[in-house]
Amino acid sequence: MTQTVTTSQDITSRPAAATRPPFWRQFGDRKSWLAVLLLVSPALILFVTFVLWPLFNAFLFSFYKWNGYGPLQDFVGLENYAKVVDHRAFPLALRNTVIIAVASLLLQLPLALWVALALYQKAWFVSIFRTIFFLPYMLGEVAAGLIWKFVYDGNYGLLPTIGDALHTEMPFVLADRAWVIPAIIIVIVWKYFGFHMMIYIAGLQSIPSEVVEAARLDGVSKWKIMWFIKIPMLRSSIIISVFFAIVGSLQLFDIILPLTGGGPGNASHTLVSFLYYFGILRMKIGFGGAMSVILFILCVGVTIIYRRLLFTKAEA
Amino acid sequence: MARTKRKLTIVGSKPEISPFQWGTIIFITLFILVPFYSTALGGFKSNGELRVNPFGFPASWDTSNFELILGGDTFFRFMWNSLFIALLTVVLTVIVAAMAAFALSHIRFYGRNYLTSLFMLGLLFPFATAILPLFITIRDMGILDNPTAVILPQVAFNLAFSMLLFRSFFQELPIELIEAARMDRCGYLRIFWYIVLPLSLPILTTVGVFAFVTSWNNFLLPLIMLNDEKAFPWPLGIMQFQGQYNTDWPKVLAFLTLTILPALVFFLAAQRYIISGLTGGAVKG
Amino acid sequence: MWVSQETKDAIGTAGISAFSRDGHLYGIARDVGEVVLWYNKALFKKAGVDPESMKTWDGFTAGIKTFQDAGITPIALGGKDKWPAHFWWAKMVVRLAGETEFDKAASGEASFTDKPFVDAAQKLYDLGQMKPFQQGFEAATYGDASGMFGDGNAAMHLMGDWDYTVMKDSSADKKGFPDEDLGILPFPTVPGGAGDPTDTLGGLSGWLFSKNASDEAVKFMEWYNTDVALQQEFAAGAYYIPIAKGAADTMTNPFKQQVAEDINKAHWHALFFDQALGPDVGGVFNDMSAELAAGTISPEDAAAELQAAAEDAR
Repeated sequence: MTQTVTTSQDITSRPAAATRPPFWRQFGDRKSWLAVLLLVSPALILFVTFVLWPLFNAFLFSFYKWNGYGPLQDFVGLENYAKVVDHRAFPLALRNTVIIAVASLLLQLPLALWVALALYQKAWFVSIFRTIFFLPYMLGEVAAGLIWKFVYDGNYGLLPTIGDALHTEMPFVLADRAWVIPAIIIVIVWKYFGFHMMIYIAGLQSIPSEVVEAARLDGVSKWKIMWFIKIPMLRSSIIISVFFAIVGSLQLFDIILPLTGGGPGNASHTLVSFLYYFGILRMKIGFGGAMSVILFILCVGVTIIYRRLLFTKAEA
Repeated sequence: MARTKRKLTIVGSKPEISPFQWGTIIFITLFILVPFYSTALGGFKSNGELRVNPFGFPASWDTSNFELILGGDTFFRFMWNSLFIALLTVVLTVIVAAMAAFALSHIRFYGRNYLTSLFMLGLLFPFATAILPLFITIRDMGILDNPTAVILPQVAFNLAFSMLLFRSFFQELPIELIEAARMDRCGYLRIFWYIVLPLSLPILTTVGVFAFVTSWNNFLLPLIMLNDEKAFPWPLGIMQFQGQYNTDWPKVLAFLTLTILPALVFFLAAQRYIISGLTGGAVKG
Repeated sequence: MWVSQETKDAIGTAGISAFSRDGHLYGIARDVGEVVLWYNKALFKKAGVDPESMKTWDGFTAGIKTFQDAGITPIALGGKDKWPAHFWWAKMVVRLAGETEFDKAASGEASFTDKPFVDAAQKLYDLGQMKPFQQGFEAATYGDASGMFGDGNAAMHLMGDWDYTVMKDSSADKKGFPDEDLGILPFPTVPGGAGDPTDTLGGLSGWLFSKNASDEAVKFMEWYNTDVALQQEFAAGAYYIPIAKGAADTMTNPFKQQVAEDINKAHWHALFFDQALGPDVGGVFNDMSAELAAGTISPEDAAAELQAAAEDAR
């Protein structure tokens, strides 16, 4: 989970630019320009070479049929996009991504909020629980995937033993089309629930204590305080957490690969594992480019909606 | 981050946790810890014992799996590769992002806002979207199988978020300090090095820890860029190890335990910075 | 690249054609591999299945039923890796389509949607419908399946000759079951198939030469690959099965001997389809094989997907 976001308004803020003199009078001496050049160019070069240029290329490649070697000359228009959408595994990958996103929202976030409400105040045992819940988040995705591959293993794992204890035969969940997605959702809750909890705890801790105290003195019940004071004041935390859950689902890959590799069949592919198996591994650059662009549009769409939501709050 | 910490106020005097919440907390604690616990113990068992007794202590503490792994050099090579990549990523991310963020927040020059917006584009999408053309770029540069093939893109994709954290920190530095230095005809580079950096230790640590954690756990990028086993960081190494030993779970679990342990110790120590880095924006918003 | 006629003779047509494109030779083959149907004699005895009865497809399917009635997993399959499943479809194509039809379809003269390919897919689909593979085979890797067979938990495993060592390494005790219980079954024949019963499926590896390779380098490899005495040493050590004629004679391992014999007799030694068709079409072949085994695609659709990929790659 390396997606990074912010809620501050740096992109749009231009502090008092209008009141300043024109640029050639603002420290426009040669020395400043040299300093700017020295300070900014490493970042700019890296950013252009490894972020913007590949992104531009993804768009470019998506209109060509290309195997990665030789000149780019076989222009095919939108054919690659049609191929992605028509691919047998694409509807599954899209469906799984949506299911995982929705399940994270409906399961993980309420759970995280519920626990955060219990654990946001200070006490010695509270920080122990917080650390335990945050532990899986700090674990590498591959390690988490392998640990759960063991848990689910139908021959040697924990699940068949639990089944034995209950006198029922457990399915081989990772080989079962009906069970594989629920199984992955459980791993995701295990891995990321603590992260969402931390976001809510940070939000809850910034609620002014006077507000809650005043309500309490007025005899407002605990449930009402939770529903009508705390949760509404967590609006931005909730938006952030929803955003992370959705973008996290859009880019889910590191857990899928060790756990199922997209299987059984194509039953557990996500958008990124689809891109990896059918675009990158087979060196179908145009196809992969089209998939990248689709992923990019989805991510940017989600990010823009997220910013809108946060800014309306900020301006209100 | 010390600044935001001070803002946090504690609501109520004692935590009020209902029995139902206690139940949830206990259940989740078990849910989270049991996989860790069985992984740690599993390395000491035989496959046969694992099947009948995955939860209990091993009948005899068989350390041969750990000896096998620690006796060979692959495990240490994987860990060293990860460490090397992570450290270089941290150093480059911190230096490059801090320099640019300083220029963008304290030097007024034409195009500054456009440049800032350009960098902030990086916040819009994860690197998975650009991984395929990135592979072509790296291949054409001829640095596949080289650690730089992972380090440079990681630094580039860290820039947006790191610069954002740096910028909001730098903007709150006392402006008088910098203007006074300017009056003394002190150049921007000297200001950056002698005034800004020493004052920015908390944010440098936050960005550094953040870059370290993401690099340490990164999987997709090395998976695409590195084919040579000698260059593998641990996530690729452990996948290969698992592929080699398949259902010899005790070995795989022992390997998992050994890779997880040092990382967890470090992450627990640095937890504060990880949380402040990831929720930094949230707290401010 | 020029090599002597003697070298060509020693290596044999299979070894030469695999490294040729448009009449040019680009390398020299060193060793061969074959996909064989490994079986566990002890389990056959336990279930009361006569290996001889498995030579035809009807006998084979009847045998699978007997195993299932005896509570024994008939076939181990590493479905997650997909390429082990491809052996089943490919073996059927070798049986039903034969060399000429396959070459035509691969080069575009004919289609993979033609009858022999669909029929071959149907066979794998029907086999999958009998549920002969171990529970959870779709999540099992090649190594999992190999270990399962090595542990004596499945009666058969369609796999390359290299599995001889892998099945032992992957087994729980690192030894596997004893060699006297291990055997190789001929892949069942299908009546009416265009393929020759001797045709084999497998691999071929060797050295490719770059454009600038010196004559000395080529000479050295000619000698290295065809020097019977040298290659006999490699063979005796069971490192690999050398391609040079006569070199395999010293192999003491009976299984490797049988494979060398098979390939020597083969009219057509088909290269693994996922390699022969290239990473893209070959990948689709693997995907479709795994889906056929799981019964999630119809044979017609699988063939159509393969044909679409082949046309796309052209």
